[in-house]
Amino acid sequence: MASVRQKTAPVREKRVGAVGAWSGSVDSFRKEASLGDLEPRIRTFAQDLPSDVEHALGILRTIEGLAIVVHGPAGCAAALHGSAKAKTPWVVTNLTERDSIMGSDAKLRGAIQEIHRTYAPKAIAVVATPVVAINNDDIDSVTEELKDELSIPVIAVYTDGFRSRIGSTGEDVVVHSLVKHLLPLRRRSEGSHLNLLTVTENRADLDHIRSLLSELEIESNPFPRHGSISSAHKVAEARISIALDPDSGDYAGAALEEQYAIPFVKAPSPLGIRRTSEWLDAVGAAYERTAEVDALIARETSRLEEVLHTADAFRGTRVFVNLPPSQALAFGFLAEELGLVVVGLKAPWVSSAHASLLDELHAGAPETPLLIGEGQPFEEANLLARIKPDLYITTGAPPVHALRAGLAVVDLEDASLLGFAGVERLVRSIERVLANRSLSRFLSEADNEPYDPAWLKKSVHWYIKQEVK
Amino acid sequence: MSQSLHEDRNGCTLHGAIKTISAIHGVVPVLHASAGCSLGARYGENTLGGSLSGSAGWQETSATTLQEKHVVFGGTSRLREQLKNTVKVIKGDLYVVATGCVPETVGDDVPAMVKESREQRYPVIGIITPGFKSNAWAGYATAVRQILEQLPTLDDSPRVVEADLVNLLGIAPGLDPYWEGDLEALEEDLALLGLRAHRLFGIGSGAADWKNVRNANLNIVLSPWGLEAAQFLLARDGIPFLDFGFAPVGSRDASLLLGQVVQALRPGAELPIELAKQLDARQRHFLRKASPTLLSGHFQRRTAVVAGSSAAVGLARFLSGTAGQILTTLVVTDNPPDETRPNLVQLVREASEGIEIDVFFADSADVVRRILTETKPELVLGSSLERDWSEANDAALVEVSTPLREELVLDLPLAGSRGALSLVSRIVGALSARPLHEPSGVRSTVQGTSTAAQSAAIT
Repeated sequence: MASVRQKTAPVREKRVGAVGAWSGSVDSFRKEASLGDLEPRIRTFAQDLPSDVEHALGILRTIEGLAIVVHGPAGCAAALHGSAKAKTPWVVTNLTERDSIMGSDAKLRGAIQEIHRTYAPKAIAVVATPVVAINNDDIDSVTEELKDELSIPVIAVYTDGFRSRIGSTGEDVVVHSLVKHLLPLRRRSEGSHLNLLTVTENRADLDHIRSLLSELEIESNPFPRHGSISSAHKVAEARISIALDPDSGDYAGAALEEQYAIPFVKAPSPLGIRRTSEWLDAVGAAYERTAEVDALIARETSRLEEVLHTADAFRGTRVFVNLPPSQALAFGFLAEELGLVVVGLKAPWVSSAHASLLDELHAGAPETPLLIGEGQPFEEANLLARIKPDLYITTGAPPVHALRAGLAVVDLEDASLLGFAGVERLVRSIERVLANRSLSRFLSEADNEPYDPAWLKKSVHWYIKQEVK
Repeated sequence: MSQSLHEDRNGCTLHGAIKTISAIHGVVPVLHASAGCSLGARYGENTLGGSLSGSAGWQETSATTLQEKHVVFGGTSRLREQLKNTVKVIKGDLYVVATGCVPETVGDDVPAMVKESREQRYPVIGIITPGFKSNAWAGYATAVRQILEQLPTLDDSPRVVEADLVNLLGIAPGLDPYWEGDLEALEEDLALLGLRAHRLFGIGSGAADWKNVRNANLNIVLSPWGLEAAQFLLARDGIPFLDFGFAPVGSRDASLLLGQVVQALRPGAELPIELAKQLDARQRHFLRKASPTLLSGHFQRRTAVVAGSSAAVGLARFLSGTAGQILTTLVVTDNPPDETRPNLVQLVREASEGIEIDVFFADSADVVRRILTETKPELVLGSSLERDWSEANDAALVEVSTPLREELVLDLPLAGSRGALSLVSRIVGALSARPLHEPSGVRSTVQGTSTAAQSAAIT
């Protein structure tokens, strides 16, 4: 954790030793990780993937009361047209070639003033883009000046599109900027609520977890994703912070601990019955409500019995999962509960700290393939053709490559995967996709693979190389 | 100074280029840019525009994903590596390098890398498409022109004119949401004249068609964005072009297009009257089928069309000239070149049935909303960005332009009779349960009052 006094967050590579390219077996990963940080790797063939800009916009667009000014050419803002409509009003400064040479301060100032006039937001985030970063345009002086003029927080978000190979760095950059420019300087009072640190979670996951917490009579304040500007002061007043995804929430957790001495309670991602219970136990311990937590877990677990009974029908199904690291590498817990067999794992990035999870889960199958990288369907197409899973599970970009390969696909993009509801949702989804596979069968009947057959015969890690510094 | 854009709908030059290349089957885009630049081009696939390419998904674009060291030391060696490997991983008949802002800012020598690949006999060309140049419509225009310009460096067979072959230019894949259905509909109409049309995009297209473009006898230009390629092909290959200006919606304009094509190919010739009658008759049959509903559903509303040039003009002419709609407002959202605007305005006004149509050129969502607030339409044909305004102002909305959130567009056209008829059905669906009680708000055109001010952008 870098101090919030720094201009922006460190890249994930530096902060946690993350790598965004790796391929091998869980056993070889475990061996390499036991030696310390993983060697940095690059791809000599790559497919386009979201940068820190897209990841940052993905969070900012969910924050109520915020307006976004994307400072760059018009296309840099396109991520704001997501599958769900953005909550935030937004403008893009629409930099042209001339602006990139002559400077763009006036344009930025005008855009901030205009969005303030038009939508009267409670705060404005200014998101930097590659052209602005290369030209080293001065955003700070504009945001500082307008913060005073408009009397609302004007937050510079220093994304740049190229500093990190891991798009998730953009999540840390957003957290850094919000802690630095939005949250109060000091903690004024202590409330009884908790900060629910949300960085990548979708709305359905958040709503479910919050409803569990409210059953425990614990008020939760989401930050930053799906949070709101008007409840920003509450972030500084929380009793504890806890993350739904420890990998992405830890930057916020540490920052709030440093800034306001709010204890950051460590807990695993609540994926599956056991891990959800552990997550709730951690909350229960912090709030001294272990009895209530036990009762809640017992009730929810017994409610899931019928669901688990349904899952008996697909016991032994061989699954490939493509999920964020804290979920992908812990999927084995849930798989065990549902009787699924994990035959391959994919996550956008990983660090050696994840090795202990794999140790526990895949000791019986050390050769299970592990593939690391955001996007890169060409590698998946290669791997999937080898391992031929029955089922593909993801929450990321729609895996059309898996569908056209004839696989049954569960895409939980906007549905819950976490908590007890996530278990039920996953079972119901698997039930449906396995019930009728005619679409993927039809799509796969003709050769529509864009990849060269020669590539599909090469080893999956062919284009992943250790970086020559 | 260009204005900042609220909820920008038009993307950047690179987006237009990536959409253009991705929509040609067998042609592989190779993005030379920082990470994420092609994803913006394909977010339309999240908003019901459908996948642009035959099978590849939106995260399957070959890309150099430039990093900090490439910004500092240049990215040409990274491009060399990516090109060398792209031809091994992704099947293709033609590979097109498209550059983003970063390599154009740091000055990468892309032509040198393309040349190197060519020396190894890979079919590679490169086009210059940094996002900061303009919007995605202009990106379509420049990408088509640059690809056509460079193809002879791969295969410079001399031009052999094929008398019955025409090219369709100006319908932009992914920007015109109905591009694939429109191109098919126009191809079918032209087949009535015994002509073969190069659609150049979508199902059945390919690099071979593009190499064959220079053998066509005529280029048919269906929006201002097709002019750049048409003018280039006239200058280089001597292919004449017909600047029709828009995509014809309904049988009348379909016949008008066919008539102009006949004349362009054989000066003095005319469209067989029977053919025009036949197109009208079919459309009339189905509009009669619709008439009970149109009568009881109070179909005639004060209407605004908010769309790119090609669709905006086509829709306006059909709604005013055939469907009897009270069209009072047209907002052209694709920011077409200044010199093309008077013609677009003229095309709309000549079919207006004497109703004054205010024509605006505006791309920023807040400006569009201000125009709608001033002109108070009861029916809006626009994009999902007009949804909030429509709901707040009790107007019906039919989505016809990007971004869409209402209906997944597959092979449905907006052009031709089939496009017109499906549009009528959709308008009826949107209007249901909206009683009519307001005055029409119609102003008649009086010769000489159509001032330039009415066609200027509200700023």
